[in-house]
Amino acid sequence: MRLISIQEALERKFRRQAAVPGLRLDAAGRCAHVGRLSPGCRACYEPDLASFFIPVGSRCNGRCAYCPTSRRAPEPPPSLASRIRAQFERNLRAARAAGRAGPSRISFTGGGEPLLYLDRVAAYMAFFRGLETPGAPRPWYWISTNGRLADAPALDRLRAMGLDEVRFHLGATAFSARVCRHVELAAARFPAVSVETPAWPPHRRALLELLPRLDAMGVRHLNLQEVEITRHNRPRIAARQPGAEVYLSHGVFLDDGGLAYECMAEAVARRFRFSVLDCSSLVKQYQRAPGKFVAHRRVDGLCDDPRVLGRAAREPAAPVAARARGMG
Amino acid sequence: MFIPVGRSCNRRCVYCTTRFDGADSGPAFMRRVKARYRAALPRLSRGAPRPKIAFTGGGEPLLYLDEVASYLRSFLGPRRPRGPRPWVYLYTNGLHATADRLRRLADLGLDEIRFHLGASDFAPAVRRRLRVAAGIVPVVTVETPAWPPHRRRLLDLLPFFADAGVRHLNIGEVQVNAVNLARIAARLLGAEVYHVHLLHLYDGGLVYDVMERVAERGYPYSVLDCSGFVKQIQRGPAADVWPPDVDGLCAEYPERRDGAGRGPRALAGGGAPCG
Repeated sequence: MRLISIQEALERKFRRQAAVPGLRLDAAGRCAHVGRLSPGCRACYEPDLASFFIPVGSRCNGRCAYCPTSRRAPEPPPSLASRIRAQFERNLRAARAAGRAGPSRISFTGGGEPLLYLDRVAAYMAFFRGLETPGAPRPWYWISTNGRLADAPALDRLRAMGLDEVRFHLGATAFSARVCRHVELAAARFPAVSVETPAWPPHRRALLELLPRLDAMGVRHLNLQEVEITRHNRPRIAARQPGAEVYLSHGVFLDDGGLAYECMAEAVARRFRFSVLDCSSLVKQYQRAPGKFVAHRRVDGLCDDPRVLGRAAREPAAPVAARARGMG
Repeated sequence: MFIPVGRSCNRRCVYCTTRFDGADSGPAFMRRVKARYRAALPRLSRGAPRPKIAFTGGGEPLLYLDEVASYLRSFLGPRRPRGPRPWVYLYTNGLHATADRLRRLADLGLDEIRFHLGASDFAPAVRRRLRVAAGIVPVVTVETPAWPPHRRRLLDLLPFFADAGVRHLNIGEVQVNAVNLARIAARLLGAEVYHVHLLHLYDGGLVYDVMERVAERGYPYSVLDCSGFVKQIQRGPAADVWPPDVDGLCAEYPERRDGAGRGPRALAGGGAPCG
């Protein structure tokens, strides 16, 4: 692997952005996308302290080369759930005292495969839903999965819990036909189904070939994540991609060779109805950093409106180029 | 290791990011820092760069001369832990940088002093102290924010820095936080800010104008754009995952013997040895 300068990495990225017709740059240039994003993405661009990413467990039934977590990571301590609940109640009280609506999203993700922990997810959901105020906006609930266990009974159970969105990491199974069927099952059950998978250069062909099918399956959002290099995945990536180029941002990121922007250009050219996001180091830096709590650009119109998404999901969505023009 | 020696300050800079409402750290903190250093030093791998110790953080370190002296004795004195000698530097706004104070610190082994000249609006008295410091402390650096209202004075003083023996000019991009946001907005109505890891003030090109002039006139000191890009590497996890190759980046100064010697000359050009 080769370390390239931040100038080279960002110049490449900006050139690729300039080549995508209809590309939108929001959140002061951090968020490069076509089409409206999932409501669950909004909190990444706003100072929303009440939103939660909940790491339900560290076990996983996948072994991805690029996975940034340790394969020997310990399970979260049993006390984590009670700490999260206490913190959430504090945040909610603070938000309400400040006249704010409360958290905009709650997500189940982090390290392991969340569907291996369905009972835990159910316990969390019962807690969060119990704090909802009738008539007031509710958080957008979403869950990440590699899709292996996302069969109809599991999806029905998640929907019954109140989950709004399922995000499929298709790269974990090399875009297997079985998991793609699970995506279709999910699209028929949830207001939104997304594909959130790394911009991993070896997946380039499979991903580009799959785009029409994602559109046909009813996928609403395609989030392509720039691969983050950690001490856990660095040796694996170096072995798998000896010619890979990485750059230092707040963390270390893999240059995707233009994959995310090829997908965007393809989505625009072929009028696919899903949004495409370059969930790059520029997003991560903003999402995880204190800067946005000091000042931020408003992101009204960046994301789908959760209140109408259920209805919109049942109707054919407009192509991304048309939706981009209509954004506020 | 950055050691915040105390929170009191004799200045109130518009762009200062510190909230001056906390208590000083006290002797227990000092004991912990010294113990941590003693524990960490033997774990340094062979060939690792020299450790760096900086006295900084919120307040004005020279208001805490006895504390700094105590640290120096512990890190550099006869009973110092075994291992490589650290590079030790101290930040100051210069208002208290009198010759006797500087001599006391230099005799204890201080390697470098960094003057934040913007804090006193580049006051003549502080400039005189800087010139005196260059004869006492081995390396004198100017480290001051890229604050647009300082533009003219900073550019005018470039020849003075060369004449006074300044070796490094570090210009820090102003970080905007909840403490200084309102003050900066009031002072610089048209200010432009951008996000890196933190929020930073765009300097209107000040740093690169300085670099251009320094290069053009052949001044002998280095100039650094200590920008958001530097801060994100310095404070983020990236450098632990993938330490960039920085051989030749910094000036090499000969290692001092205990508390001895002054006025070493750089062996090679480059920035201040801040690692």
